[in-house]
Amino acid sequence: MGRASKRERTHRLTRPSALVFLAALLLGTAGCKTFSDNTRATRTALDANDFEKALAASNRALGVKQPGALPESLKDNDALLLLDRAIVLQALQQYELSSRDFQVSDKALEVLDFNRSTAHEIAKYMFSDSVGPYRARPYEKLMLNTMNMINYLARQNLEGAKVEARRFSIMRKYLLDHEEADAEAVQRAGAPGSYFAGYAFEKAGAPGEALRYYDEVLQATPAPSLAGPVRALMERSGYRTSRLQSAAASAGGSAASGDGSSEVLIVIGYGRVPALAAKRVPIGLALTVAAAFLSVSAVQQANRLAAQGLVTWVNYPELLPARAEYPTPLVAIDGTAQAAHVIANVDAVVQQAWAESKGRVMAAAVTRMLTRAAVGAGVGVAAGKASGKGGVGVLASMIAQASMAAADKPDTRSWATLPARIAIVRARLLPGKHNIEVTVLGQRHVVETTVGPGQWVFLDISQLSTL
Amino acid sequence: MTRHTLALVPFLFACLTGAPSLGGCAGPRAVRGQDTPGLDNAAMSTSLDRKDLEKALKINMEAMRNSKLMARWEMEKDPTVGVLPIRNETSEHIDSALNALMTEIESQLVNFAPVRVISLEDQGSLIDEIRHQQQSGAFDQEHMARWGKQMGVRYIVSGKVFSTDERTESARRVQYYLFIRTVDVETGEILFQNQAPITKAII
Repeated sequence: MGRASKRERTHRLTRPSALVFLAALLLGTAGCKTFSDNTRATRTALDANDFEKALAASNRALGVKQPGALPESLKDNDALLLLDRAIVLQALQQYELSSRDFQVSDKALEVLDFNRSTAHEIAKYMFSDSVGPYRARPYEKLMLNTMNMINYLARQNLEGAKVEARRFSIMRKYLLDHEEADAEAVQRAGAPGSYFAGYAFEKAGAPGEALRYYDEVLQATPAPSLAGPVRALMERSGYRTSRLQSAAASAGGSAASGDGSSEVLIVIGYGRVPALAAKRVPIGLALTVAAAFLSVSAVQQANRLAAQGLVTWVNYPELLPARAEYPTPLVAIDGTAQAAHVIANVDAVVQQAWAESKGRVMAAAVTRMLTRAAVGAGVGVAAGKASGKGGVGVLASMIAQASMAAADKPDTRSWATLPARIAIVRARLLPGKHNIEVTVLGQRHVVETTVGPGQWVFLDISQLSTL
Repeated sequence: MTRHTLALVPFLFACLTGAPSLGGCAGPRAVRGQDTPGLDNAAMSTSLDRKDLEKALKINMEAMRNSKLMARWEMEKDPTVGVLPIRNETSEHIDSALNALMTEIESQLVNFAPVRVISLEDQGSLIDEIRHQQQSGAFDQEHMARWGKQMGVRYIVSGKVFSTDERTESARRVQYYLFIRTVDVETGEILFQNQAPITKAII
């Protein structure tokens, strides 16, 4: 084959390639909003304490019109979007719909967990971190069943709450058994779930199981509200640990469960965990975070490119700052102040999880940058040789790199509607009518409830603003 | 890298970036089980579906047919039987499947057993009470005798489903055990008990 015909053939290949390339550029760069951009409207409405607006925004993100509607088939990030809507529905006390969303999401996330393919991994490393199905973080998996237990307990549905408790336990055990598990982090993230699970089994008349769950709570955090219930449960079960015995000893003269008096458990979810946002950082800074997770040659290559001034920025997701502190809710029952105990600092759990994964995330971003540079260089050489003009090659290289950089969507997917704190008030009540007043983040909630002898009431209050 | 190979780079790029946008053109569609061979055979999740219930029921009802209880019922003249809701002790929300199972047990007893089946369907407040007691764990022989009297039945068929649920990095398996028992309301004696195993998994 002569040189002329060879060149002609190359041109034949290159011209349509260029068209496809341009099409890809358009496809790749179109709609480059990240997940957290697409869900911002929900969070903004929650900041304004406008739950109806948050629900409408959540429905829009899911592409449905009604809170009872589900997408025809779950795709892309629908499982995660359902978690957002489930939280909003719970705040609106639409517990049945919230439960349904949690369950659908739970099943979908489980399948996605086993589903990430090699193609997704390659695409993730070449183009965008947000390619491929969402893999829920360990604390998100625990919080899913935790929050759904609230939906069942609020409806006094112990059977449903126990199912969620068992699902929670399976996940907790799986996470604890994992060789890379940070046991302390799992216990801390699981504390509210263990509390609600223990409560469900306590009220279902299963003292042994209730004590096991309450012991998990005490492994993670002191829980003054458990002293009386633990003492009462230990009278009906032989299950013992040193933590349970200490808790029971601290009960003092507080009334025990099962004495015929009624009880109220008030759960207050307030504030909101920070979302992830797309950021660009200088390559040098990125390398300081990611170097430990990159090969020596990758670090050298990145440094070389940076020195040549060819690549200076890296796209990656960053956890936005959390609100520094939230005041503890004020609770009064029939005018008497009650002590609220923070059972979970979800903010801290999210921040720790992010701190642990940040290096790997940044390393992936640097790897994508290097891939872009390599592909861009290849395109430049090809275009330069084909046209016989070096300038065309440089331009093609720049276009290729720019389009790939534009298509590189940092993975900002996370469950960002979770409450930042979960506080608990547990109190004995005399049978009859009671007035319960909760003031949280400046909002006052008044609930009137009537309890019969030996009955229990579970109240859930959500105030999901970060302002 | 040859010139030909280099010329393919944009193609590769186009495929990898464009493919996700172009994929999934064929959307979901509604189908009938009778028009879609194998639809009822496919497991869609780790929950119990109709095929599982049919299998579990077949095992338990066959065991009941061949038990001494059947001979006893043959000797008595149309004894009355009530079927209680089946308790869910699993890690799956299978309440509606268990309600269907309860009705199916009633149907089978009506069709093959020499008994008169008294349904709980028309006794709304009693069924609510039974479900409440089942939830709260206060489910004992004393209650059983009282409910039997309220329903006007001599025998009560009850059931429970337990599960062992395990998860690994790449799979989740749920092993179900469906227990069915028949109790003489007056004496509290268990006259029949059997277990049917079902395993579901995502692998």
